Amino acid sequence: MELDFVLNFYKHFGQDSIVLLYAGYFNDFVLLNTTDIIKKYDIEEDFEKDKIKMIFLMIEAFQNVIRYADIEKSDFSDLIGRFFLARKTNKDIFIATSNLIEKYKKQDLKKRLDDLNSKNTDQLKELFLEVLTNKEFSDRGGAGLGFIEMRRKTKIQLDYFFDDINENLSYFYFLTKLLNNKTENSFIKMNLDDFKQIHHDFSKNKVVFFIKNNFNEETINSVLPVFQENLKDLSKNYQKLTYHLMLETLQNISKHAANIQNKKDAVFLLSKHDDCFEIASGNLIRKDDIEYLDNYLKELSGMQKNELDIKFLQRLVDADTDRIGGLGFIEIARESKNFTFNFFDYDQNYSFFTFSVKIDF
Amino acid sequence: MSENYLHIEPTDSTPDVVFDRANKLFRISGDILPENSFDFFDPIFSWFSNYKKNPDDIIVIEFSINIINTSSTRRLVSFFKLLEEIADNGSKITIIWAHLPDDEIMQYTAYEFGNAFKKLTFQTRLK
Repeated sequence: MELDFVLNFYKHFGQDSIVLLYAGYFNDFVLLNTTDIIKKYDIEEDFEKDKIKMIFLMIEAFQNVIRYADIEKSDFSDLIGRFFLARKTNKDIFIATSNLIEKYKKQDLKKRLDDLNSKNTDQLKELFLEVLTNKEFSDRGGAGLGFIEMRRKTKIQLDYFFDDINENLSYFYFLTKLLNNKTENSFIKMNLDDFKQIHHDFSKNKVVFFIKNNFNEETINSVLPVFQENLKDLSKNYQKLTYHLMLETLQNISKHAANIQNKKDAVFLLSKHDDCFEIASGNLIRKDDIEYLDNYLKELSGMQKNELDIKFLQRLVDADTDRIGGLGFIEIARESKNFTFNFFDYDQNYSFFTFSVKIDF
Repeated sequence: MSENYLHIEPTDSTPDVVFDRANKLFRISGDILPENSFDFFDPIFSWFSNYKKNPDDIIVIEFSINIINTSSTRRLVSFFKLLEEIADNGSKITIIWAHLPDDEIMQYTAYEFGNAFKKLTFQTRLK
């Protein structure tokens, strides 16, 4: 992955207070840990009401993907077949999903969504109660109840689009929005084309998880469990190593990202390539800190394993440990020499520091 | 599980359930959001189907739910239908529906349930 990808999406989501993007194994365990990240987001006091709505929409959209994605019918990897995005930008919330479906299901799905979009509040309520109490629909699966509820709760039409990829399969793109911001032009309004582009860019870079958030200990504790499912097929040692490096990377952000207006706004992502996992992070740092960090990382990259071990022990007793990337970077370098970093000019006071480490399978 | 007592331990996606006839405590508290809600609700239906044969005259069930997905809402509707059958046999059933002050979704859900199940008395209160 090119490190400017990290910068580009930090900028792309510049006005978002939180962004979550996930691809891979979809199940309730991942969903709960993903919603947990939102539950623990407590930066904005007036978010409580919409937080509940956001979590509700996340659950319904995510569980629709669990139920209806026809991933097993394709030759595609899990990475491409199921995709989830949740954004909060100013007071607006966007939840989007993409999943593969068999082509013959398109017409029925289109009919149902068009029907929902054409109904007014009373008609939607009538339909909701009808579906809810109709025994015919009481088998496993939602019979569209999730769609009905998302339409009712947001009071906005549900956006969707089908993109045929071969003779049997289509991508089903879905977007639901909770719009509170009245000043239409001041803030970003995501549409389906934006979402398709995001899906394309992230799939191309094999990203399985991306988060933009305020980073603190709570964030780290809720981010880490999300990956358990994507690592479970790998050996215990590999899982442990990946976990360790993710933890160190996340803690580096939490400790050392620039604190601007009481927020350590940063991005963290994990991508799954054919031969490795790649962990990457990006955060603003003060320009004064660049020289030290640049020299420090260059020094670490030139060291042998035994030199790093000695350096680690020295650092343990060094009073300067809290200086940028003290022990964390040494730990990462001891486990994988395959790391890269860069500094991008951001504004007068800050630069954007990106760091990436690969862990070969 | 016994004829007079049912306790289901909570998980991350399912609530704590206590049905205790001796202490007149019927309570469901926590999140209900499993993608497959059958596994969670089956023992509840099983217990209440038995309870229905010899119910109490006055039944108060407290729901303190933070969030519920639509799949579980559907099961809850079936549960309320079962309660209405018990009410048809003479029991007076009250549902206490507790929700957080900011939670418009849970507040409105109680309102809709109250309208849909007239044989049950729905009361809301703030947590």
